Amino acid sequence: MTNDFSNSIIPPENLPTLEAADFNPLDPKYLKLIYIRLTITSVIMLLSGLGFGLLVKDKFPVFAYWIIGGFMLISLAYSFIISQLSFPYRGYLIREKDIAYKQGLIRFTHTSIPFIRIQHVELIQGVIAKQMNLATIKIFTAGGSSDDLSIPGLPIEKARQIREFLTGKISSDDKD
Amino acid sequence: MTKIDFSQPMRQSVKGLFLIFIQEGKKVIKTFWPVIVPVLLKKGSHDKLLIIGVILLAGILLTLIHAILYFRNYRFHIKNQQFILKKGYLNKKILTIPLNRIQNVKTSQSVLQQFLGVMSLEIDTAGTARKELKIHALSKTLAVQLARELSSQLEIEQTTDGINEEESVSGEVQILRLSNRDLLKIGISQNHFRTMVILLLLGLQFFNKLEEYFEERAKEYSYEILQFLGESSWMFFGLLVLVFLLIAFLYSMIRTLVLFYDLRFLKMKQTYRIVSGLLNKRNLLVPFHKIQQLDWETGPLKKLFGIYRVNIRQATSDLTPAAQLIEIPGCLSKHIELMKNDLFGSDELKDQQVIHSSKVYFKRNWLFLGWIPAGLISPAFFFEWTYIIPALLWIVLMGFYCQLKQRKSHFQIDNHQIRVSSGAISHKFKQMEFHKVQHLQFSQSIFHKKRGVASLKIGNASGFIRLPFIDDKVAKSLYDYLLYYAETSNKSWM
Repeated sequence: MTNDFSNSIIPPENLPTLEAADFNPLDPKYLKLIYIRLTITSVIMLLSGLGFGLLVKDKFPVFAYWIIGGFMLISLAYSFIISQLSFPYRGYLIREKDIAYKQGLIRFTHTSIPFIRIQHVELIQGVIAKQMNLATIKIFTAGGSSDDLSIPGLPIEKARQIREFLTGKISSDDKD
Repeated sequence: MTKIDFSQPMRQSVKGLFLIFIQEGKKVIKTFWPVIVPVLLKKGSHDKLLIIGVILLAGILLTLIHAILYFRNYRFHIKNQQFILKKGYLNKKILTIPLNRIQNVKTSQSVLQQFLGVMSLEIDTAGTARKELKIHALSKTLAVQLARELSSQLEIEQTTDGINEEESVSGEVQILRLSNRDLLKIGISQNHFRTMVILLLLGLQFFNKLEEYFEERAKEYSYEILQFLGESSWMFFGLLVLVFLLIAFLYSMIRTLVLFYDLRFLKMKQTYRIVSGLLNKRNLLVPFHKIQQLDWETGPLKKLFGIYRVNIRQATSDLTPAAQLIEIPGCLSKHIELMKNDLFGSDELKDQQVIHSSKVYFKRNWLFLGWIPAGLISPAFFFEWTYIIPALLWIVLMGFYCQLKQRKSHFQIDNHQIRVSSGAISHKFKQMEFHKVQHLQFSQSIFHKKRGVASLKIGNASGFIRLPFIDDKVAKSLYDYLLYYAETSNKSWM
């Protein structure tokens, strides 16, 4: 199939390819941020689960609570483990003409947007992220599609730099 | 026509005050009805009528004041190549849109607006979602002139006479006009099962809302209904489905009539114009270069009549599907050929090799749609072993369904464009040119890595096309090629 495929398309010589090894890793502090967020959600989930359990204590048989509680614990543990294991797979790459982000251990994806198709760029900082000097860059394309690109876990100076760079690219390419 | 000076701030038509009143009144009722309904239904209060009267009067008065203030503070003008809209009396808001950012200008008229002799004007900018850019009550002449003024930056201005209502412009060719018989065919060949599910969900939602207010009553009734359902036979259940199908059928017929009555599909140079509608006449101008993607679809019933449903997708800021895709039902294959030729040039894809999705696609779909749902209800087998029969039947049925899906999942490409086929019972096609690409995603799960299968998502300004479970080498080289193509192309993409 592949051979037939390359017959129909004639790509120019040495078409640049996206190699996973070239990507820049995210700031290791971002992993800590993920842990803090997960801990907060776990505490809220467990507390509300406990509260709910006490409220409807006698309505269901005991084993139902064990199953639900166990399920909650397992899913929380899973989120912690998967965040840790998949962290090295996250990364971004800025090339001469496009920007890319990759992620995922179980389902690996990488996404690219050419600079000339970017509509605007946002820099976002949450409360906890602000304490850790981290920021997220969000890149929007036309049509308000939800599949825009966002790069979390950037040191704030780096994020500002990238935003400046990208906005510079957009306005210099803007012909109208 | 005298030329109107748009550089001075101006208001909407005074007749529009009534329209604004109705509109804002609707909003008030929408927000407050959960409070109002219980008051109205409360029993035993002596001066009920008096209370209702007072509330009603106060409501009308407040809405009227609001409408007047809203009207007086709603002003717009054009200055320095920018459209400026100021509105709000408590929260003042100023919207500024550079004229060259405007993608499309639409005018429309509802029944009420026709009665009042005013028009809506809607400005469309790609990028961020903005709902506020709709002016509801402009006098007809003002609307037409403003639309022309605003779209002066668009190419369509030179080709067609701005937003002209009914009369066709000289040089315009009619491609398609739907007769009442065509509408009947279109109505019949809708997907009634899908409509039924949507209606059922809407009904359930409504029921839930009602339940909140009449909780005890509803419980009583629903218990009775459940008991009734439990006692009655499968025959009854079948009858119920039939009734719902009938309702769905009627709904489809009415929707078709309302939306597509006397649809005319016209072409002039590099622009399509679509006029349709029974109560709400819509008039859409679509320049070719704004079109991101062309979709067409046929189903078992549509095939019988030889008709296709065509969706023209363009870039808009409005996220609702209705704005992003322009539906033209009842096209014949010759119309599709014509549109393909207009938008993509002569069909070079026809002779290209057809690349199919991998068998993995079938296996995964069958697992998720067939085996896993059947597996989830397996604990029920312990209580009633006969449940195994429908579960097995379901798996077999889904096997066939996924087989159909697999067979229709393929695509063809040449150096400049792609055509993708998908669907199970219906058959869908999507075609786009590579210079419209603005976003690419490659995805692969670890289970499929060693099988060499991956999926590709090709995004444009109106949505995206998916190539599910294809050879990962093909996916990778397509990814690199499309990125390269978009970056080096200097054709306008929006």
